[in-house]
Amino acid sequence: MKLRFNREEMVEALGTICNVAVSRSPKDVLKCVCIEAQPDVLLLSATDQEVGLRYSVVQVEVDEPGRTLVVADTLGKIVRECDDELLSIETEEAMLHVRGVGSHFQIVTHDPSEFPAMPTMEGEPGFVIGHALLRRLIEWTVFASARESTRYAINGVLWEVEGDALTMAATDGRRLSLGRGKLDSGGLSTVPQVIVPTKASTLFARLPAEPEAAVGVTMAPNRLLLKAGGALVNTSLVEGHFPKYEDVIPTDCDRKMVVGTSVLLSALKRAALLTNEESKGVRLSLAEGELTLSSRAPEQGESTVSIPVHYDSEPMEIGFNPIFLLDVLRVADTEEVTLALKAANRPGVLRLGDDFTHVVMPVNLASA
Amino acid sequence: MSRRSERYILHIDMDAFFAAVEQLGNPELQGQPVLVGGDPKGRGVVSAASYEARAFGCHSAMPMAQALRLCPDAAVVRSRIDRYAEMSGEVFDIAECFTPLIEPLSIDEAFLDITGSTRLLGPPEKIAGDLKERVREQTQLTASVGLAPNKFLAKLASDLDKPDGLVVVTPQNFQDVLDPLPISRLWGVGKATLPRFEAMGIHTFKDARRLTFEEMAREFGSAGEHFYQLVRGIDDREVVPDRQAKSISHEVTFATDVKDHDHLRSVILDQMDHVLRRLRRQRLVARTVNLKIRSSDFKTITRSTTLDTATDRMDLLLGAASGLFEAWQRTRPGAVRLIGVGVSLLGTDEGQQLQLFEQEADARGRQLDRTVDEIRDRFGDDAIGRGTHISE
Repeated sequence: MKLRFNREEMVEALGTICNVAVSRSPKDVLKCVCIEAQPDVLLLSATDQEVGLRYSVVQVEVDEPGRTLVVADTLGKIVRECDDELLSIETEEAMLHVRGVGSHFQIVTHDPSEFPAMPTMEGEPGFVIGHALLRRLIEWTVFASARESTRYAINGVLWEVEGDALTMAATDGRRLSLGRGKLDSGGLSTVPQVIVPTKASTLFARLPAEPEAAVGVTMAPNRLLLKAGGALVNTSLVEGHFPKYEDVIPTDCDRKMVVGTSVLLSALKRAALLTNEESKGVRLSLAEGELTLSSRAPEQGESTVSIPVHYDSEPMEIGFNPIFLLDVLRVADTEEVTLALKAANRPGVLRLGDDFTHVVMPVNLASA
Repeated sequence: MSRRSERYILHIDMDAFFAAVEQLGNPELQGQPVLVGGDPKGRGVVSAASYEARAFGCHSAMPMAQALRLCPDAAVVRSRIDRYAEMSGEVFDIAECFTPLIEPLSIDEAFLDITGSTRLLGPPEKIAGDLKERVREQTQLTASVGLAPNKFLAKLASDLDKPDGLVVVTPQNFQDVLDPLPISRLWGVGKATLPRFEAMGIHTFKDARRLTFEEMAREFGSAGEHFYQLVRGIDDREVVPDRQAKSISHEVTFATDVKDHDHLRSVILDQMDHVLRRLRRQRLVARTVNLKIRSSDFKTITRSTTLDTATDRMDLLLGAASGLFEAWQRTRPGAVRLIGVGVSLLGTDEGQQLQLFEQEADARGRQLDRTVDEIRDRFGDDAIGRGTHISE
């Protein structure tokens, strides 16, 4: 195998590969990138056994096709640290030689026959969605997924296709994030809902594709295939049932507060400064035209922050974990956010535009 | 006096507690000298002596043989710590009706800060009297109570008129109360320090007040600074409530060993009910449930399980306890001598994160618990029970 490639494109490709390849594993093959030079394309592949990624690099000149396996992290660092426009690689016996102007690296290779076969997307994708929208839906939801899956907490994001709409939902049992967007096409010959693992979801949002690029997705009963730009990703799915999220979105909230997103974000950051492990809650005191956030950390101190809001219902108080609210506001892309409430022990609903809804349970407040 | 002279501190001390509990359970012992502890053959030490036995000079920590020489007719009873702990739990439950600020000192003694209770329950003297009365009514045991502006004076006061005493020490009369007391009554004065006071010609609190702060500090170091304040009735220490309790539990020893598992199940239900009422009264939540079982051969097992999130709900915690019990009973065990349930890994419900998907069940469970608590607070513990309760 012998070829030259554009270094910048390769940096991007290997960066994505390194998001999949495992940095520490007793299995060498999981740490490696499989490099396969075909006459007019270079295919890079990596897998962690859950997620498989195949990346096509096109700015290459292949002199001799071939296939080899090297540790992804090592190659990634070399390509990143060089400043040449072009680099060349060549296999000689058990080594891979990487050459730039004035530099020469030799990397140990592994047996490429150990690398598993990567699935390909055959035929038309189940549906097509714009990359920017896909990324936004994932950003709106993935932070609310749980670290581990239990009955109501799911370590993944639900993808649900209905007609020409894709809904994503994630929950850790205390909050639920819900995003909705319109498909560019398709949605017919597809499994209606799957749960995509958190790691794969994060990877999808990071794929280096143009915002307007069309992303093809095929949802199957046990896996999901996604093609964006030069990347083809295959992921296994989270088994189990996603809780019935429609049931926990309250419809009886009769107290609504509207506030500037950045104003609330800044106020929450300040109020959260004086919370700690024991007193995670920030008290939200709503009165006409004003929201007062207060917090208290035992043996540290207290804080009070007031901001103007649109609110004209009865005064009320409710406690929230400020981190939960900050997580939502950080990914919001609307100027204003609406917080709808019913009572201090009932969920709050944040609406950030028509397509992004977030339900969050309060924390108990100390009796005043 | 202390900087915060408006405090009202109670010290409650049960009278000859172990002996009184034994007399309560056995009419033949009532009015008779009773010695608890050791064994009837005359070895070991006395862990409690009834007032009738004390009249002969018997007291706790005395070798049993010596006590029997002083009072040969005394009945000797082996101590039953489980039973005393159970009665103690009842007394503490009563105390909790008067204030949440309770600092237990031992099984039969505690400080109560009732400063905040006076607006609701009346003057402090009335609260002190009501507490004594409730204890007598519900347990048929007597307590001696001291009411004072601080812990030191309250403890002294409860001891001044034992048994069944109620002594009130006020900012006005405390000096008169303190002055004649022997210096041995000063907190922290023991075998080592007493002779040093006596060598200085100091025998009473009044004598001790002659010493300046510097003289006290020179003679006794940091303890001296403490003595200087105490002889002047100054004690700023707070009542440190049971709130930081590591666990709350309730156990019972059966008069005769129990084989009937349905009966045991109903006892567990009763006990958990009791434990959770104490838990909720302190606005605490628990994550771990413990079950303790002692079989007739005195083998004791303890089993525990920890929930994902802390709660104060009867259905969830009882479910956990029942799970432990069912696992145990599948081992085909024999008769049970003692059974107890408890909760630990406690936290306050403040800042507790509510859960999204079980709101309805959660809200219903909580409402049920709260309603039962309210009914019992108004009409007494027997006013309402769970369907599976078996009344004895």
